[in-house]
Amino acid sequence: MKWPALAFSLVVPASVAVAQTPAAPAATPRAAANIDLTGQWVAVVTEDWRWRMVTPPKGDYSSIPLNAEGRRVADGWDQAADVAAGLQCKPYGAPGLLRLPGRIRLRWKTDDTLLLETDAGSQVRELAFGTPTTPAGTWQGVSRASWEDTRIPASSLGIARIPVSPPSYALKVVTTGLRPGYLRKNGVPYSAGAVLTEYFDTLTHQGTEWLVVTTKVEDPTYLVWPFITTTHFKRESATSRWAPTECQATPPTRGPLPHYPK
Amino acid sequence: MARMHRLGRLGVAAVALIAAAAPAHAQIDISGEWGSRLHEDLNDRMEGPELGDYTGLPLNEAGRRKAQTWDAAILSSPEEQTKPHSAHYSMRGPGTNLRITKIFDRQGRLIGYTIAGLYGRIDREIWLDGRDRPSSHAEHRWPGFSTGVVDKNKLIVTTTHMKAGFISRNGAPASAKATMTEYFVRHGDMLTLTSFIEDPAYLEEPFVRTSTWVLTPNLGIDNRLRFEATEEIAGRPKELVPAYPLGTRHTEFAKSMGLPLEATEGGAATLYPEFTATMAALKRGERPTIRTVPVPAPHAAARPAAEVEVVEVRPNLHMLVVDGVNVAVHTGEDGVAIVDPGPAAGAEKMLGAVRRLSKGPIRYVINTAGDSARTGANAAAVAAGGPRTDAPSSSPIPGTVQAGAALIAHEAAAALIAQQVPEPAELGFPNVTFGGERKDIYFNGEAIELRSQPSARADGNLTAFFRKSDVIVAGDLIDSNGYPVIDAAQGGTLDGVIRALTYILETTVPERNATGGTLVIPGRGRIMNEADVVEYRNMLIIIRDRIRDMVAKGLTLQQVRDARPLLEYDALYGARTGAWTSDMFLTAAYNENKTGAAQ
Repeated sequence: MKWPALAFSLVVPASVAVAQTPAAPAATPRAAANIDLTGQWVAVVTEDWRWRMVTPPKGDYSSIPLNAEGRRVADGWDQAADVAAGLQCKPYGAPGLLRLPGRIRLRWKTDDTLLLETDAGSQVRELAFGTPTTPAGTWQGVSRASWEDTRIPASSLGIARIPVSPPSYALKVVTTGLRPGYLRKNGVPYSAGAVLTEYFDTLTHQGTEWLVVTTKVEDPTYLVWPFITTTHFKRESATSRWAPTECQATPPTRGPLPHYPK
Repeated sequence: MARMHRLGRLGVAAVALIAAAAPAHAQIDISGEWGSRLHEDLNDRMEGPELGDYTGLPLNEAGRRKAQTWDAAILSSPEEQTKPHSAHYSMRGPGTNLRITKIFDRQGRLIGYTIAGLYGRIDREIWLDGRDRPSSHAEHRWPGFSTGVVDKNKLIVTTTHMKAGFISRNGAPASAKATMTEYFVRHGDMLTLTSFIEDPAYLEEPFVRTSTWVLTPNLGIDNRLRFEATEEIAGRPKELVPAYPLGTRHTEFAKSMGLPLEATEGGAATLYPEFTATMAALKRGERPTIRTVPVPAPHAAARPAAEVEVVEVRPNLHMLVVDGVNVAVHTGEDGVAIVDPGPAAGAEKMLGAVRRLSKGPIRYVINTAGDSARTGANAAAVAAGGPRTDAPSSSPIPGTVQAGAALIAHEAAAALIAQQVPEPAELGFPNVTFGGERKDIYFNGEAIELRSQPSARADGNLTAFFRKSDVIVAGDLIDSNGYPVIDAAQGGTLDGVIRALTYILETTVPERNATGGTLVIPGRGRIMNEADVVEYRNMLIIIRDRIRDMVAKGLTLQQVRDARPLLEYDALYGARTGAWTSDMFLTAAYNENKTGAAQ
């Protein structure tokens, strides 16, 4: 091999192409976990309280970057029609579910599938590291999970990627194949084309474990740009407060908001 | 062959460069320009929350009271107009786009970050170099003092030394005793912050918030460097502190949202899923029990440190903390001036600390009051100044000495000191007194203005304003951890303390946006600037006005106690035991107003 070629081969394959220390025999996603997401977590609603703890008034889509079509649909929300059509689970779809007050449970179904359950609406979502087996067109859609890629982009180094990636401490989940539903209980819509990206982080603050879920909803049908929220949960060691409910169509706290002419 | 060697070395160097480019521990880099996404709490963060909307806030009863009695009209006062947001809130504030920049030392090591773009340009600094936290007697600042450590993929930041502020812009308070812990984590182009605020004064449990920014190069940030206070109300009384009366509950928000009032008043219980059932019961007209956490009792006063703590206020002006009492020491070419030498028991160590600051002669000892906690070390301080000999009036030292230290006090304070110093000739007795409003000194190249503050803690109080240093020594008018002592038997009044604090506020000038500028050394506790004095004085006015109203309505002292007019201040300033308890303060204020009402 010529020296220039050798030098190039030392630089490039070790970084751009491979970018990882040669891995040991592939561990299962469960075995590769650097954080423990499993257990029961309770939502602590310190943000968006007026939109999460109750069904807000029709037309109250403050904070959500709806486009004109999104606003039109939200303004046309008819809760009674939803109930009549058996669609009271529309606020319990994956993009809106974790914003509801309630508890979630995470557990390994298999070595490569995490199960996310909620007591609110008794929903179950499979977070599959391998090929998802759940069908599309459901409230919880099809979720593909991975430990977050921690490789530093080549652009950040100028030459190439570092040869050793730091460990991953976050779970990334991308969900598609969603049945259209609501970002809020008052009929703020997302479409079947919505893509939900979530990052699950854990932290321990003064002896209490917290789960922080950063959520991005991309939906060109109804949103002008991605809708980003972050939701936090506190670990519960006791499971007695797990209180599964059916999807509930709680009436709004008051009548529709008046909209001023634009 | 030589060319091959060169290329070989190049290749090896390239590999080495790659390996060294990013240390394994540096898993998070928060630098960059980050665009805020107001996809949570938009109404609260932009136009501001409605009065009475404390939803999502784990307020305790004291915090709720402080919020409910807060009146937005307070914002018309000049001192309030220019306040930035304290760190408790600034990261969550309106449209907070961030510019986070790395700080390197001269060896190129990363030692910190600056965060710019916060409301009022109160830029934060996060130190990663393991530096010590400032003294508990150091000034608190709007951004506080932040240190950070990297743990796995997170940057963990701890912030203390924040000024009193709020967690919501409708008066929901955050005290200067609060601490904040932040966890930064980055996911690609998203930066997520989880923050915990612990506030023993106002919160039932840690207040947790999570916020996310998106990497946005070439971002515009808030560059408004200076807010301008304007005269919003012509002829505004100096001591006007608007506040809602005790017992106020703001019902408008709950009504407009169709919510039970209890649901809008905050509290830890309202944050959890179970509260939805509680709300349903409330709506049915039931009265379910809502779990509350008692407001913590006033803490016992911290035992003063045995050693003298020395805090630099300015290069030539230091604050010594001697057995819990603050002593100001002014040094320069002319020698040393000591304001309030402190208690007799601490004299030796006080003088030892003075001597470490300056070997110059002690020329002035100034008493801001006549109580023994401030004057007990008078004699020792004067003696340390060397022998005093009578001098003609043309002496460069005012009064009757040409060598040694002059001991200056207001004549009313001197009368009190005389009770402690039997013989007027003793060194501990003032040899220079004044009875008027003001006495001026020029020393160490700066003017020192001694201003009488009559009928404050007692008669004979004074403040010492070091003009060039831009520092006011307030003496016992302020205790950042306690209510002011009102020694009614010696002519002290709460009104007098408030008047004196108002004088201080007329003298102080912040550098910008209620930050820096004139510093104030209180009799006890931490160094302050104008914003802290405003907070303290307004607290006293609110308490006085409450008690005055109740006295006017004919309430007895016990009825006033039962109304708990000190509720939201006791965790910060109160004491149940010791020389000056909350009840003593309340009783003094009651008696003063009772007397005033009778006249």
